[in-house]
Amino acid sequence: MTHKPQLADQLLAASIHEIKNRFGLMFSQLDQLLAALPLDETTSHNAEQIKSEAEFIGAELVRVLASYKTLEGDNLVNQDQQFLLDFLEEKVARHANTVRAHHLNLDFDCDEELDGFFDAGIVNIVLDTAIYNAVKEGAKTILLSADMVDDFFLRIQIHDNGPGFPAALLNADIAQSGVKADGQSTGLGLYFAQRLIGQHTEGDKVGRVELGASDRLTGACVSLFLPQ
Amino acid sequence: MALDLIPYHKKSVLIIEDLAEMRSSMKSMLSNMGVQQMETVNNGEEALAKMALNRYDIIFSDYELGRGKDGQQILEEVRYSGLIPAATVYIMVTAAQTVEMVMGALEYEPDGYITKPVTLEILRTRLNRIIRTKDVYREINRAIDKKDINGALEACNRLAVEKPKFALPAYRIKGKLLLNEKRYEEARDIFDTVLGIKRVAWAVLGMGKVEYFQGNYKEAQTLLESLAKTKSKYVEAFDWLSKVLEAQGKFKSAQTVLQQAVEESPKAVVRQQELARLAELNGDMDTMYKACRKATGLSKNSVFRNAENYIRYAKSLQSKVKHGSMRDQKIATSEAFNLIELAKTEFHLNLSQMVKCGLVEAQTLFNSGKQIEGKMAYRAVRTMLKDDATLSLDDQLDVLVAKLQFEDEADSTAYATELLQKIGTDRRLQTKYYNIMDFHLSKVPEARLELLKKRGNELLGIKDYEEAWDVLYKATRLPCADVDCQLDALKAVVNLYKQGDRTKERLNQANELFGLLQNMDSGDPRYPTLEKLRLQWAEQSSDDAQTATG
Repeated sequence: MTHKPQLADQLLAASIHEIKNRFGLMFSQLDQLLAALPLDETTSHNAEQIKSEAEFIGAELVRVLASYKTLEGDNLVNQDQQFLLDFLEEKVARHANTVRAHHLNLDFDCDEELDGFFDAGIVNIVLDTAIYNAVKEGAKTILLSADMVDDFFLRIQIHDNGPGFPAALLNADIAQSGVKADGQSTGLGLYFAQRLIGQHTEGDKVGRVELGASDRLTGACVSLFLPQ
Repeated sequence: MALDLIPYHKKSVLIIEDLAEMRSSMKSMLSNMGVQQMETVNNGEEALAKMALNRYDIIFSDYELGRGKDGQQILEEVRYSGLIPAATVYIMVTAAQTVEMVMGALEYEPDGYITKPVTLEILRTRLNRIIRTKDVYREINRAIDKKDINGALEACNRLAVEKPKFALPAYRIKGKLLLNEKRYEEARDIFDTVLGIKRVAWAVLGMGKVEYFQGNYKEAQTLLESLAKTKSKYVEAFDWLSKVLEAQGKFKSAQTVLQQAVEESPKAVVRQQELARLAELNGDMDTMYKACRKATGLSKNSVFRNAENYIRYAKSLQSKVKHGSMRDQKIATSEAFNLIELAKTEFHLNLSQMVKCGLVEAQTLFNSGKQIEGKMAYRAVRTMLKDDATLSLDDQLDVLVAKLQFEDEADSTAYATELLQKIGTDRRLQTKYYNIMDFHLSKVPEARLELLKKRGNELLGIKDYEEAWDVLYKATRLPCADVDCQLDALKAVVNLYKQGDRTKERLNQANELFGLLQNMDSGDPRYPTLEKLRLQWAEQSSDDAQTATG
């Protein structure tokens, strides 16, 4: 997988990078514009949805780029110490637009003293993917949780009250067949999530993503296991 | 919760934000939280002026500030010059899309980031959190502000024991303090301990610095190269890698590394100044000019202004002063004089700087057509400078440039010969010397050919085929090029190819030279050399053919 990227790939990556930056600028201008406009309740809700969609596209571009860079093999992950309370709090705060646009109930839960080592950029991307997937499936409540589990793995979970994962996806090995999994973007996103989280290593232990049913809410649960 | 007890009504706040709407929105949100003392500025320069006058508890800085300094530059300047106490909370406000670009500064980090759009809810949550975390380091910061370094180190130890969660951040501060105090062995212990726990980027950088300061350049290089690979956003790894390479005499690689870093973040002043300095050492006028121009623009009204950079910039403008279009000449000339004036009036120059400044002034006058004034200015420098021995060899090369321009051939040639002897085996200075002489002889192709042949031959002798090729290729392009230089150039390119530089360009260059030499008489004393090269070439190409098919 560490083959040298072909020119076409590099071109694509550079182009996505450019689109992402331009998009970021456009988004912040849009934001200012919307803030300056007198909007009634309906139009204001439409505006929230536009903002949320814009953020989604932005996050998607960031994810594609990060996946590309990680798969390219040149960039090793940067496992630095993170305080989970701060990290999840920030994640929830950053999704304020998603929350407003979709009337979402987004919360987090973790021990105040919990800390762990992981690449914050990568885990951010994976959490965004999981949150957007849950929203897309119609979830109205999403809970982020973190704890330390057996054999020194930090576990970060995304619970939701949506319909849960289809059996086909649950039974499939995402690391192997994820790309093909019915060709839907959910499968694709999870496949890359697995690849990204799998870059985290400690000794012989490797990070992994597990899909299942939530034991906290009624829907799906994505669990990230990060070796410490 | 204790969170709500932060006494915001007692906090003084500075907001750095270029957009009026954002400024007023931040103000109203903060006042909603109870803040009473607030000041706003719309650019970095005003911000620095405010910070020099007043003490703030909390500073919000937008990252993207339009044309002027960006948030990171302000932070670097503030931290570098100790403009704000360690206890002040510095918060960077960034657009969600640029947050990745902003984060990753290992040496100059803010206390926290807040991403836009900032709502009251986000502001309250994030600010409470950041202040509460900052409070964990209160004792350490208090000691640092009192310049009680040992007290700060002890406070770090206490924090690590009392709150294990903060052990690593405490070690990080400790490592930084110890490095500042030049207590390298203790710093090494700290970074060693941390790296034993986890390979975190800041500890790798810290250890790299320790190795550098203790003269273990190989070790430092390994560490920093691994860090540079980890994430390209750790630009500081490139800065230190460049220092390490320079310390080992690898000036060209040092410059290349810094050029990469500059591409990543072109707004860092010190980095641009360093690049300009290295480019001058390497005699790379083009890079020097670009870096100087950037650095001068960026350092306007900042603590990073310095005479060296002004003088260097004026020096790099000379080719424009002399050869530019009419308009370029005019602009470059007035710019150069302006820079010289700034260097003279704003700084107290040392002897080396005065000499350089004087020489550049003389050159600017001369190159802009004022020959007599130029000569007089040059003589003034000469009287100031009775004994060259006080100057570095780099400065003496500057003197050589002026001599070639202002003194007669015999005098300047004698000076050149003597200087070349002093340079001895220093490769960098040799290269610089030959570049100067090559440029000087640009109108005398025969003399230039001899010079290039001599240098090319020396380089072939020490097996530096890459530089030999650079030099000899220039020779083969001269109208008076002869068989000797073609044969030597061929030697260089065949050996480059042997060493693995197998680009199509090399292939074509070699074939072209073989073509030029194909009519050499077999009785020519140089014929055996050519035959030998032909043989080597045939071997190499057949190797290639095999790998291509097999």
